[in-house]
Amino acid sequence: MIPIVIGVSFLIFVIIDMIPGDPGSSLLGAGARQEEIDMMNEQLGYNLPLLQRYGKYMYDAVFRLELGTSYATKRPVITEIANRLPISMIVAFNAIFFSLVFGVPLGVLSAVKQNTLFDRIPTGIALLMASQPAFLIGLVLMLIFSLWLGWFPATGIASWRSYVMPMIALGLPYGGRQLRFTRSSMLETIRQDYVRTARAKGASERLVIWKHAMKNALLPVITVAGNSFGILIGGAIATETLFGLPGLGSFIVSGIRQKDVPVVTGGIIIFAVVFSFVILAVDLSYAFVDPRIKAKYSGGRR
Amino acid sequence: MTDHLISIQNLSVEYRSDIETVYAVNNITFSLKKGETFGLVGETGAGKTTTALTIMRLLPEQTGRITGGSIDFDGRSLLDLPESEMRSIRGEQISMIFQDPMTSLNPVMSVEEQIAEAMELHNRDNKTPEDIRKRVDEVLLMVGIPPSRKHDYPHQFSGGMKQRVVIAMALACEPQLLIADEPTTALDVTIQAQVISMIRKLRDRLGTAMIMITHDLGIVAQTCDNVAVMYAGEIIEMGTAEDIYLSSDHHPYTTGLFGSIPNLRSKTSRLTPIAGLMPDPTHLPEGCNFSPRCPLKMEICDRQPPCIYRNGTHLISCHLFEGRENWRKEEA
Amino acid sequence: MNSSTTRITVDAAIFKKESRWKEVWRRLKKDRLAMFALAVISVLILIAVFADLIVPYETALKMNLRQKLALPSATHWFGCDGYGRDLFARCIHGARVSLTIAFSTAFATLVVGSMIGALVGYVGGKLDDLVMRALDIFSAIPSILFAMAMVAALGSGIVNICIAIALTNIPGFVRIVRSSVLNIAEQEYIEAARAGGTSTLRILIKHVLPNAVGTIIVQTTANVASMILIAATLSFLGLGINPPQPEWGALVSEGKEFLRTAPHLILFPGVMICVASFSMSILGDGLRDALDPRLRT
Repeated sequence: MIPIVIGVSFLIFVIIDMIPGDPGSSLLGAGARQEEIDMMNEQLGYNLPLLQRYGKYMYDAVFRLELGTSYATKRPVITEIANRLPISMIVAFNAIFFSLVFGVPLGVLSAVKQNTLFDRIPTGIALLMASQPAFLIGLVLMLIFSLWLGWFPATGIASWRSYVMPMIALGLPYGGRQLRFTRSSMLETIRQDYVRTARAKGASERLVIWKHAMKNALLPVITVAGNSFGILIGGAIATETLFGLPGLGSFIVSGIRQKDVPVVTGGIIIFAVVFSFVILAVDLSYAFVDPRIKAKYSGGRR
Repeated sequence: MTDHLISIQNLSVEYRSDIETVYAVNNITFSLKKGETFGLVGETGAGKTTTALTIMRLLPEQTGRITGGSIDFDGRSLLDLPESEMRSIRGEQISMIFQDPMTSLNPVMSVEEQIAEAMELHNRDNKTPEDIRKRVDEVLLMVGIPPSRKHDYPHQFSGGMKQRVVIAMALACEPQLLIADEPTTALDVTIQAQVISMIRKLRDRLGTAMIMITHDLGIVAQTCDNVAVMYAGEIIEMGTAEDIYLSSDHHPYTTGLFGSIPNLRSKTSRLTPIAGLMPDPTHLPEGCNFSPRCPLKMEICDRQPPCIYRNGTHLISCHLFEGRENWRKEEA
Repeated sequence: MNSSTTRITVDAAIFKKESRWKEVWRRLKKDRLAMFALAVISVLILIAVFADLIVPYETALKMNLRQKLALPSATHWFGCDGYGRDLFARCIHGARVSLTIAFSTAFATLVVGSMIGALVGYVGGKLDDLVMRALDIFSAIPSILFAMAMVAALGSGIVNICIAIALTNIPGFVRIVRSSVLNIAEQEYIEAARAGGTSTLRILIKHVLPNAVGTIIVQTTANVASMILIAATLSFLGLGINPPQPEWGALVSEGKEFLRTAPHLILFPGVMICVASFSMSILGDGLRDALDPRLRT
């Protein structure tokens, strides 16, 4: 995983480096004197070659926990991120929870009752939901539940209520995807030979589904849920911005608008690192659950 | 008829989809006594597996249809039973083992769990978990697998051993009838011999009747008391093993099947396969199903399906036997 | 009789080669939902292509403060936005922008991704390892973030967004093509071609790619569907095209300021985004079923 983190951070660093502007003038403002600007640039290592700048950046980040100073707010980037990351995480996990609770059981149901109404209706709605951008659903929810009904606040993080609409706005498209994938995984599993063997043993349909099929069908669902996390983040950023939640996503967006290099670099890298951790956790849990993979790891093979 | 363990009469099965109807099994009749081994021989697509699935009532729900006939097992009509009763028969009184051991076992359950499940599902005499565990060990020993391996998962076993596990599962409740659908086709030849030999020993020990489905005439010779040859969903020849292997009278298809086997003893430069392919099961020909490929075909064969002719225990469905000495037309 | 058996075998040979695509088309035609989706997409594409003929571009830009936030009416079918611009015109021209981005990025992804994926999957070895490592790094960055970073570095504008989105999608596409190719490469007819002395390039073009085509097509339709959404999201965040150029996501963003008083401003472009993406997904599903009915789920 370490090489990936290095690779990611380097890539981002290089890309963002292309944004015009130097730290000196941005931090000190337009009115500052040229000597002050030059001194600050020298101090921050702006004149060093790219690789060295990258090395310095990573060193500061890992060993001194410093990610630079925001051009816009003049405060340390790391503090801002530390404040905002938890909010983004809460929003994201709420959405995942919502999507799994609705997506997986309905997916199983539609697979078991294939081609009946219990299948066509959930599948149709799922596809419809998965075809929407999260911000659009968010806007509609906002319109109905905030502006018309007044049940939930439209913006800000006043209370737990503020988290409900973002959860639904993000969770619905993601849940739609989960439903479709659970359904196809389930359908494929039901067709497997070992399911037929179970029936030949005299197992009831219910036992076959719950005991034999589910366990196998859910394995790929876990992986896909992890992999689609990336798509979730996209929607999460838009949702944060829409609902005015002070999360990391909206922070990065405003950073880009303001050409706030340290914020954008630090923010995206942190996001990417967290993302890698999530994927890793999903992979590990997969290994935990599937005896075939567990054997590979415990057998000492790496 | 009443001393038969299972009796299938005039069974016909179709697979119906929006596009087409496949006539998989067309009016077959055969029966087994207790402890008898019955061979069902034929090419791929002849309807053997469909017959087996029909006996187990495991046909795919959405497309499989039984369009006629009856199956009597142990005095009961299987086709009329409610699903719940059928479930108690499956695995306990009639068991089935399938062709591909690689995919027949659930990859995320240990071998012990899967065999134990067979017993737990039919736990009539209220065995305790302890009893069941002991029985799993017994059964594993019976098929030649050390009980120490019972916590292992299917992927940790070789193909031959997986098939033994499958057989162990099927025989765990000591069923009266075992249906074996090409049990060794997916295994290599040396393992095949081992598995067949094991099946025979178990059958002798437990007194299980068996329907052995195969396209391998060698296996039929080794294991079966009676044999039926299926073609395009019909039984075109049936008799005892002697009838099939030793008699000189045969359906042309059966002759073709034997002719396709390489003979180690005699000098042959080429094999004689049967020309052509089995008819499209959605569009069966009007007369005899085999007539397009039959080297001995007569004019009547295209027009009229043949009747069944009997000579003692030997039955053949072919126009060639009309009026032949010793062969009498069998009234349906 | 011999003629009937020979007829069977000859029919089988002809059937294989020529009518594969006809067969696929026939199966697709039967799927009414997919055909409906195809019709919808075609209409949208036509709108995008002939946008100027439907409504002149100037109308989309013309401000008229007296008509500010007007509701739908006979003169302004979709009403007017906060600057009094005709929303219908903006939606029509927005279609052109949104669909151009979506289709061109999907196409770029297809071309570049297929080439890399096929090459890497077939050749394997060190090249494969290297490319997969690079892909791992790219996959570790969520695509929106990557697109945002690209836009931050390169600036906004249609071309830049297209590059950014394409770059984020190519890795995923390469993976899919690569795994499809790996599957195909295992097949014996490839082995046979190689044994017969066919060059790598020829094998790739004649044998591998045609068989991967199915997967590629289906994945591309899915890509178009998701790129419509990604482009809309980027524009919504203000990181996409430059105002006053209309794009569906940007229109929604503009409209959200007036959510309470003029909800139609987000509804019309929003519905168009949804319809476009939804139809593309349905078409993709239909194509997948038509290409291989055995996979039908």
